Amino acid sequence: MTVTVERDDNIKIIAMDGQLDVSSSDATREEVIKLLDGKPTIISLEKVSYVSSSGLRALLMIAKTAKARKIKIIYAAAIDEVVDVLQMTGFIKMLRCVKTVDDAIAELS
Amino acid sequence: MRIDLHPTDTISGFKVRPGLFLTNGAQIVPGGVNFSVYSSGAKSCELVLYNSHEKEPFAVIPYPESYRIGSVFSMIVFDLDYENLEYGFRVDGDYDFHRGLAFDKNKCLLDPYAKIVSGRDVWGEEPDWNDKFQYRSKVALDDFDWEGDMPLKTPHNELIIYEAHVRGFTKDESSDVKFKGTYAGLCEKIPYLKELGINAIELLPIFEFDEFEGARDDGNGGKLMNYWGYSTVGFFAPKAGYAASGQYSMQVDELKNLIKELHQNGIKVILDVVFNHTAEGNENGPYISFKGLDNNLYYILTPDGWYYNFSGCGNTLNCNNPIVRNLILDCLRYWVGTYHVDGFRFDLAAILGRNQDGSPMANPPLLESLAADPILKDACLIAEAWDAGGLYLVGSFPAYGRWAEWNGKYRDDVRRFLKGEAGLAAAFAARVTGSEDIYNRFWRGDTASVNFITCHDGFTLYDLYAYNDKHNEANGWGGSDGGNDNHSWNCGWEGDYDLPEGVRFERHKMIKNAAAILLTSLGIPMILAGDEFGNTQYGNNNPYCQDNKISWLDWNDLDKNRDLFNFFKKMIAFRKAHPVLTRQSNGTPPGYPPVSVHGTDAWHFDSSSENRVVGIMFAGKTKDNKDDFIYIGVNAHWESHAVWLPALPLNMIWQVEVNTALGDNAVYDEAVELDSSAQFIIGARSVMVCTAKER
Repeated sequence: MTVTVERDDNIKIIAMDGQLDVSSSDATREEVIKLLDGKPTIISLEKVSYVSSSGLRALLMIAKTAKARKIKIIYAAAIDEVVDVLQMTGFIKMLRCVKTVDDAIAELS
Repeated sequence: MRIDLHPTDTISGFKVRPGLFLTNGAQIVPGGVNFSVYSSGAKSCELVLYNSHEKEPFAVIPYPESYRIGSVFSMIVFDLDYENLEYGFRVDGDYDFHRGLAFDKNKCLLDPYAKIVSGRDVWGEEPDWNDKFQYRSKVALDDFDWEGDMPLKTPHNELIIYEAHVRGFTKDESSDVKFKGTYAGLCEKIPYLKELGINAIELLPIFEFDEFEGARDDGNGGKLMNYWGYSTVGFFAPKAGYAASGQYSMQVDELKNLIKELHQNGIKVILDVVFNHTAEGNENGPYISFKGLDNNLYYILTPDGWYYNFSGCGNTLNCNNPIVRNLILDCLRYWVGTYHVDGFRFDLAAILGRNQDGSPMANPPLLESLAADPILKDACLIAEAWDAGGLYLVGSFPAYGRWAEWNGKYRDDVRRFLKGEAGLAAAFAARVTGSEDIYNRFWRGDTASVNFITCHDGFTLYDLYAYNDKHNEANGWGGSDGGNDNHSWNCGWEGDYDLPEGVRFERHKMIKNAAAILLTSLGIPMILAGDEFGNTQYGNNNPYCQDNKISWLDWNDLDKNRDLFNFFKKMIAFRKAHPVLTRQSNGTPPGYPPVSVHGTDAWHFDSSSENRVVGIMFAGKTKDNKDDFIYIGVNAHWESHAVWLPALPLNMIWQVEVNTALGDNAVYDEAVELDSSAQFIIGARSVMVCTAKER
């Protein structure tokens, strides 16, 4: 799993790339949380091919940390399989998820 | 870092240390996973580790003698990819069939405490039968964001239970949900349940079972499956095949989310649990778990080692053995403590009161423990108070003031009376008024009787009035399976083919009669899912093996039979609006008993054989403390009858809210006042529901 900052001006866009599972979820969570600096943040899941149980928890903990720091955070562009998993397990209700990064930018602007 | 969480040894190339002996099963600890298992007859034990779905293990780690206290083996293994891990145990010990010893060190056993079982991850997907390790234990993440959720506090008196099968509820195309036949699909239907008004859902077994157990070809290219699931493989694991996410092993999260969402909508969750036997069958059945751990401890055996079969399913769990008792208690505590489940219905619960030699006990330690357990204190405990060995304990189940029972007599007496049988008036009146002849209120309280007219086992309510006889040919036993004492009546036309309108009208009326009675009876009502819109099983009264349209709810019927749905909804709302029906009334109007039984003349109940007219009056207080009177007039006769309602206080007058004789318009938009003579003609085979209003 790689984590890249794709944009960092008035909005921060962080892209995840890879599988979010037990081997990567702790490190990814910590890495993303370190990048939260107060700006509204979009996390692009476009290149995340799989999210496991521990991956779901990482996504939730990132969102909860952002909320506690009063940082707006939106997950965007997850592939259908990942959206399905978020829906089946109900995690989607605890995260703000939109279809595209552009949708997220529009919401934060 | 705790100092007792460092590796101390290396075995088979894995860093390990002695584990946490007081925990059972597998548990994630910092840096590793703890594996504990007990077996009183074991000489030695091995932990066997697999990568997901691999045929061969990647590690076999024997428990050193120093990793054993008493009969408990415990070890922490470090640096495991626990999401991709499947595990089991191989246990060595003696084999002597006639002494009940069945150890076999070649068999890899499922952890009896497995929180996830893999092997049947997607419903109906044919397993690899050559795989020697069919049911595999997996490690679960126990954390979940409950967002403040707890088991609900709804008083037991107020429960209106809805019995449903997770898969059958939404599997049919007509359910119109995304994740059909799953926990997530059920979750999508919560707005419907809320509109109906029920406040508890009782799920047919959701502990891991094998839908392929006893599977047979149906002769038409399909398969007959173990659809109901009354045959447990893993007591701590939710059925993976009921989870849309089962293929990703996320069933724990999916089910917890369903429970959280149901709770947020005021709906309790009751699980139908099967502790009377396991899926291991008799001496010809498979080794899954218990046989290879301690066969003669988990099962009730004859003196020469054969399996007693009080369950009708091959074996009988030895429920009052202290070890088994603890397992059952651990299991129920787990479901309440970590899944926030609100209660349990125990299948063939009479077995839970049998001694280790099979004889019934007066004071069974298991039932006493469950009744007194602190975590289970507010959970509903509902017994199916009989077993297949002839022990029938309805009314005499060891209840400790705590247990409720499926009231089988309610079902039979109400069916027989409504059908028009002679000689049932007194029994019917007793059932509607709380079955105090069976359940002494002093000992059993107000909520001992779970009233039901239909349940998963038997005809649906529509079929009760559409079929005189069961039609079970599709089950493959030549029509011999399923009960014959259905007390059903087809209203003059067997089945639905070319159905005359008059018969349809009569059936809807009979269904409404039953709904009105069920929802105004004292006790806890239980509705079978789909009955509220006339779901049919085409006359099959035992579709335990039918994973198809016979069992799946057909939601098209909801549009077709909207009058039935509206009627159930009305009667549920009616029950909720009148505390006297849930024995929560704060006082009684002066001069009136809280419950009274009447005939065609007020205050003159006619218990003679040919009487088929019964009036029940409930008198109490409304929620805002005004006088509240309800009169239920039931005419099970094929002719109409005039009834005189009991006189009310002078400032009040009777009004009719419901009259099933009016067919599709059985519920009045505005209640119709009776004149001061308080006389009413109840139509043939009809029920009227009246309330009192101030003049």
